[in-house]
Amino acid sequence: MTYNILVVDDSKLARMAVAKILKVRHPDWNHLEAANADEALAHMKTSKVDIALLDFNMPGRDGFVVASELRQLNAEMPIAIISANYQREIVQRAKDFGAIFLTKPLTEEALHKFLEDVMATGKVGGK
Amino acid sequence: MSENVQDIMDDLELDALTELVNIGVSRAATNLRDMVGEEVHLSVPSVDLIRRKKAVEILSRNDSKLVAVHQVFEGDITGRALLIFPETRSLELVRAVTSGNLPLEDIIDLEQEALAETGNIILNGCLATMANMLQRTFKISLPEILRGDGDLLFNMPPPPESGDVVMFVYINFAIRSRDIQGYIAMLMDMPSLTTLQLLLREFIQRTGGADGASLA
Amino acid sequence: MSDTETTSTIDALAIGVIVLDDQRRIVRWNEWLEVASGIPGTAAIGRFLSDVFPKTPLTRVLACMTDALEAGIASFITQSLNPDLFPLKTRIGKRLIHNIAISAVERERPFKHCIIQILDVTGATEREQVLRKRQNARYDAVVGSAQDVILTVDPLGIVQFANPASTAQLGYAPENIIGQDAGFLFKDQKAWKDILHAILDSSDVHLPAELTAIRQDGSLSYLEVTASKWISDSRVYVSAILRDVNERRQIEEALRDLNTTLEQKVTERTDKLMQTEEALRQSQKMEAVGQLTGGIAHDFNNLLQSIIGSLDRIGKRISEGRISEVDKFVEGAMASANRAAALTHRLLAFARRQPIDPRPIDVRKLLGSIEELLRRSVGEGIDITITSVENLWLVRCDANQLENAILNLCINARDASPDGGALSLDVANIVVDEKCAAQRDIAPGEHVRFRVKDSGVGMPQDVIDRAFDPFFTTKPTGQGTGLGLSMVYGFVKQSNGSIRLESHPGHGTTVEICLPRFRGELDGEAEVKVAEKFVSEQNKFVLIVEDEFMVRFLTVDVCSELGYRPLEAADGAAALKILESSQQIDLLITDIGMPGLNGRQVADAARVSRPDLPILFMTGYAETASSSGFLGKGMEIITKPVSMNMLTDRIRAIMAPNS
Repeated sequence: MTYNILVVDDSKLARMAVAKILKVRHPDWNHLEAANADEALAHMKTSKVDIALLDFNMPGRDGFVVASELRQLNAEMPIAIISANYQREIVQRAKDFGAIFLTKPLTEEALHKFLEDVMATGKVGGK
Repeated sequence: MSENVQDIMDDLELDALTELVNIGVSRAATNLRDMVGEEVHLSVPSVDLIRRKKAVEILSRNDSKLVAVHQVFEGDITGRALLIFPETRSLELVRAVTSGNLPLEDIIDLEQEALAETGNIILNGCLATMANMLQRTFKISLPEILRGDGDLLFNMPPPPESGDVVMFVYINFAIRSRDIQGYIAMLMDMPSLTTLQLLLREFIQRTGGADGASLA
Repeated sequence: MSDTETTSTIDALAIGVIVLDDQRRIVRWNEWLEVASGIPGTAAIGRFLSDVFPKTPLTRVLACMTDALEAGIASFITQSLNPDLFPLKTRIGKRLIHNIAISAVERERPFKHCIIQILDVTGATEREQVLRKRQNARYDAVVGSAQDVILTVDPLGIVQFANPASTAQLGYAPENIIGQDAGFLFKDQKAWKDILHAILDSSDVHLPAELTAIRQDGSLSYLEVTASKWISDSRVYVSAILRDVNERRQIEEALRDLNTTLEQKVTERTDKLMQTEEALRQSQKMEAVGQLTGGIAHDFNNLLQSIIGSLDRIGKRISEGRISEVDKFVEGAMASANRAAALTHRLLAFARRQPIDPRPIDVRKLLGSIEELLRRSVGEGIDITITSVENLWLVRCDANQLENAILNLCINARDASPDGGALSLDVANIVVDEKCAAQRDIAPGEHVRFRVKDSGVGMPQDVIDRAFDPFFTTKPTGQGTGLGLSMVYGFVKQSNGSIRLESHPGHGTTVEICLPRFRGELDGEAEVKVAEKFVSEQNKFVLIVEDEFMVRFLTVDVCSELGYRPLEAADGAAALKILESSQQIDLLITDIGMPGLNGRQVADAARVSRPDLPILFMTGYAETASSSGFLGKGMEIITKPVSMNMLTDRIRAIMAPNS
């Protein structure tokens, strides 16, 4: 199964890093990139997005705001919040959003574990 | 040397540097949080490479009286790291990181140490992350407090050699509903800057670039 | 250096040293630390820190050790932020206050060892504390026990210190104030900030200042504030003392209340007095109704002449069989009778406040129209000045009554100035506030104020008191009706206005009338009828200028009878139009007292283009007739009421060829 993954991060390098890790195990999946909240929403409207990876620390609307906006468009979509800032309050907040917290810098293992869990729960829509 | 600082690093390198600082500051926030006992908001609105003169100018614009935590780093990259904020806010910062109910005199007494330790945590957060991700080692000194204006902070005599280019970072702290704006500045000499660039390129390759992909 | 020497050196240090390997096991534990911790080296070496200090939370320390071993990072942990580091004691058994530095031993990777250095800062800390305690003992005694609130703020206004009095005075415990911007305590935050800035700038500020503070429970507290700037360690602070002055304020307010109550009481009494006066006036007026006076008689005379004259004409026409022409005389007589009725109404109105024919009036215009009449009435010895604002508001009242009132006042002024003097009439727009309105017994708001001020003999207080009483007069018998001012008073009150007298013996009198502003427009201008009988025959034309319709009508009739072609004008302006035209005019008969241009002015104007025009003046005012110095050649004067025969004779006489 191929999925569309949306990667939202203001740092181009970070987006590249995620793309690189993704290709290791899922070279056939599509990934969409967004540098900020507006671009992310635009993708949501024009393409089918199955999974979203959001940087927490972005200028303007941060990862949590984007998460809630995405949720309004797709309530069940699996979301991961990525940050080097793993204070317990932030981890908890990610959970409150129904999102998984992943530490930055993102390792191959961490990402793939997340993706496996997502596919296992079957929360990803396959239309 | 080119007048335009932007020519020293290209967009992607600056992006990588910004990302490193961001991660570093986030780590520092986590460490601070453990010490303070409450959520710590640390954010980095921007990272710039500017000339020393410009840095002095920016600092002098709003506050002429500054207090800074200073650490030296030595290794493949050598330079000074400073955590700077206005002197009028230093007591606020101390209140923010202490339990907040201390009387004025105690706050004043504790100021030196509290600032030194807080600055140490934040600067270490950045420097350690950079070292880690660039796969290099620095020897980092213990923190030292100094007070003065922008001119003083950026014109300390060598050693170690301080160059003309400053990595200038705006940071925002909010702790216990106290909001404090400050800056992190890293002064490096040219050789160090060049090394930094190289290391950044390697880092980009490792993490983001596909093998053989061009880095534009 | 040998190993033993190294160990001795490390043991000689006056700081604690722990060295750990990359497994986190202790490999060195120096003497200083043995003493301070009470743990001998043998018990420490080879173990983990957590074993050696089981009760101590070591998270931070361990994390920093990791940083050192993995990245060569140096960390600084201070007692200021981490109160419970290692459990250590000084040589005299006191808690050993210390800072910790953790770093790597090796200069570069791999880092095989980390070193923890423990630095005793007890002495330094304590010494400071002792010094401070000494300094502060006296300070604390004063500040801690002071009743007044003492605050210290930094240059941004953030409270750094608040004494215990804050709780008692403001309801805020000091810890709830510290760290806040002090402004939140005050009702007028700007006032507080201004004081603060003035002190920081060392500029002039009046202290003590009075500020109102808001207590925690929301109640207000009045405070007297003194403040001053001080510098410590190159830091600037401002300390302020807030003194409670609520008691003083309470007393001030009580006094103010008392004043207001007194004022109220005075106003109440004044109102009562005015009411009593009113009642008195009313009863006096009722008495006066039954009597007539010369002034009223004059008006009636005119009307009676009209009626009698008309009936006379009717009789004549009937005897001549000219019955069809009777109608106009009947009409005329009726009109006059109606006017007589109106006059009696006026009298009744005076007694009972019935409104009669109120119209929108521009007082300025009205004054303009009777200006000549006024000047004539007061005579040459009195200098009249009439002033008015440009855009005078309209009032609504009976025009005749207003004219009479003004005339009355002017005549009074004249009578009060036997040696001549000045008389000023002034009209203005004013806005009356609540208090003045109450005193004058009118509604507050916009009014037109009309003032008549003379430089005459003035009135003493007892005269002022009775001035508006009907039949009260200071004039010799026969000269004053005594009804004048009371009628003026009645008219003013009817029109919802007010009238006030101010006078001092020897200093003249000012009468001030206020009438409410009428927001509307003037009625259309009265039309001037000009007779259109221009018959170009070899007959003689008579121009009759008279504002009273019936008198004019009858005069026209007489002239017609005598064979003249009558031309009519109801006022001077219309007359002038005809006089300045090329219309043939052989005789001018003109009333003297008319609104606008009076008869004399008409005559003067006529004589400019018609120097030989015979002019017959008619007047109802006995006085003017007697002073006939103004009569020039070819001018005659007769007084009303004039019989038709008399009129006929005089016309014939003046038109006789040899006059």
